[in-house]
Amino acid sequence: MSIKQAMPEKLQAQIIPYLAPTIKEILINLPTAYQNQLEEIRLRMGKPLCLHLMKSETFITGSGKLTRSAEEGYLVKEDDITRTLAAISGNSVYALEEELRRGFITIRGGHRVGLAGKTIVENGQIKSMKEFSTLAIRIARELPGCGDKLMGQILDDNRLPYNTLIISPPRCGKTTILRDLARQLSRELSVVVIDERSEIAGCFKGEPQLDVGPRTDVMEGCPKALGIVMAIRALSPQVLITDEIGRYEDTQAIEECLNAGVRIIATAHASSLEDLKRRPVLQEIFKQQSFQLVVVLSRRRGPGTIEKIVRLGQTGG
Amino acid sequence: MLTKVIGVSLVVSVTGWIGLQKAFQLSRRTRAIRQMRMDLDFLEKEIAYARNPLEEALKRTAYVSSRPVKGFFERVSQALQEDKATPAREAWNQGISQLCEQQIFTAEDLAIIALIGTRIGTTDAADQIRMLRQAGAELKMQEEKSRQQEDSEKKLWSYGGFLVGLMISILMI
Repeated sequence: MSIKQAMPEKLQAQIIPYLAPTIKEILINLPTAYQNQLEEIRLRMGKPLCLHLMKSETFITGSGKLTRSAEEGYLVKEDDITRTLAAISGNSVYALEEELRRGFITIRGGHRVGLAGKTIVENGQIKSMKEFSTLAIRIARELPGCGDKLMGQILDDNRLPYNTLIISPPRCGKTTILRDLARQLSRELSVVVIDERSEIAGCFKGEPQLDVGPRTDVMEGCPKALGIVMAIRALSPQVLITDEIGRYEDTQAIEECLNAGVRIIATAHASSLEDLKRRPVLQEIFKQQSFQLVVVLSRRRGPGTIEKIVRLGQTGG
Repeated sequence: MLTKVIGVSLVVSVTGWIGLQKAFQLSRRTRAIRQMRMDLDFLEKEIAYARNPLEEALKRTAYVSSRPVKGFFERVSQALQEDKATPAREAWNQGISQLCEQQIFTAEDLAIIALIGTRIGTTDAADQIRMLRQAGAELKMQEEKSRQQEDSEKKLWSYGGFLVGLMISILMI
């Protein structure tokens, strides 16, 4: 397992081989400084090749030069999408139906490839996708130690974590921190990660590609509500970790988890506590007093900035 | 006299051999279409039920296949193995070129097989099943036609070659 590789090495070994030859040629010579900052490579058919760096978004020319001008950017061809998708899917789209329904494929290294194309809908549900027009290769980033600050705040006297809800808008580092908390907690505790969207552990063929610790079991692709109940019965965790709660059945499963004496750390999309309380399903969680801590994150000083830690039991929310 | 006997034998042997070859080719095509049909059926199971990656599915199909079709599946899976970014369509076409060189299948047969390459591996399992079954059904019709042609023409070619040889010899004497 290639955990914690230096970024350029990771990029060269785990991303570049999947790219169409033309795109590979363009990116292989990207200066190391930019490789380190690379968060996403976006291929849109007939549009300029786009790179998302940590603090900016840029286009890249056919000769590998970064540019702000869309006109100068290398125009992604249908063949580039076809070849990249062939490598990513192993020419086996039929074996990735669940991934297509979710809209992304996880590749070796835990990196995610978001897809856009023509969706095939059956009985109101997305059944599959074809005629792909966009591939968004999002590079999985591990930041061991990014949860250090929070670790000091979330453990009680028995060294067990408080039931904690981490909230923030998208791209503020919730999942990265959650992963690091799983890694650190599992040094002493038995942890189960319910990874419905394969974002926390980034499993590839069942193996976590990102470090979630030595005592962590991962239930991948499993709906949270079902996974929580199943994990309590089958895996006897001390801590349960899951991402993006928000459905009514999630609140019921969390209740069951707490009744079983299992601690829970979860995340939710919300920009503030007030925002969170406005959402009917999450209101239920507050009524049940399921969580003892709410951590609010932002990008103010970079992803993972802790804005506020609210102790619900003491402050009354 | 001896020269005439040698000449007649030579002409009859050559035309007879050509006739036998043609007759053999007729049955070879029928057998090859049948083999291709069976292999596509196997490939369908590999895709639809085992959900094996295409490269492995083709390798396994090649393993259970026989000549002259075996080489086709070996070639396609090898092309996919050599370069991961090779679209299945390209690899499939490489296999088709190999089949062309063998001169067993007709252009009509090859067109049916080549059509699979345009979609193989690029759609969901249900579509792959539909496509492979459609190709299988079309190949079955080709096989039937080939068999009919074989029945009606095999004897003609087998004996016709020798008879033509004899006629040419009589005319020359």
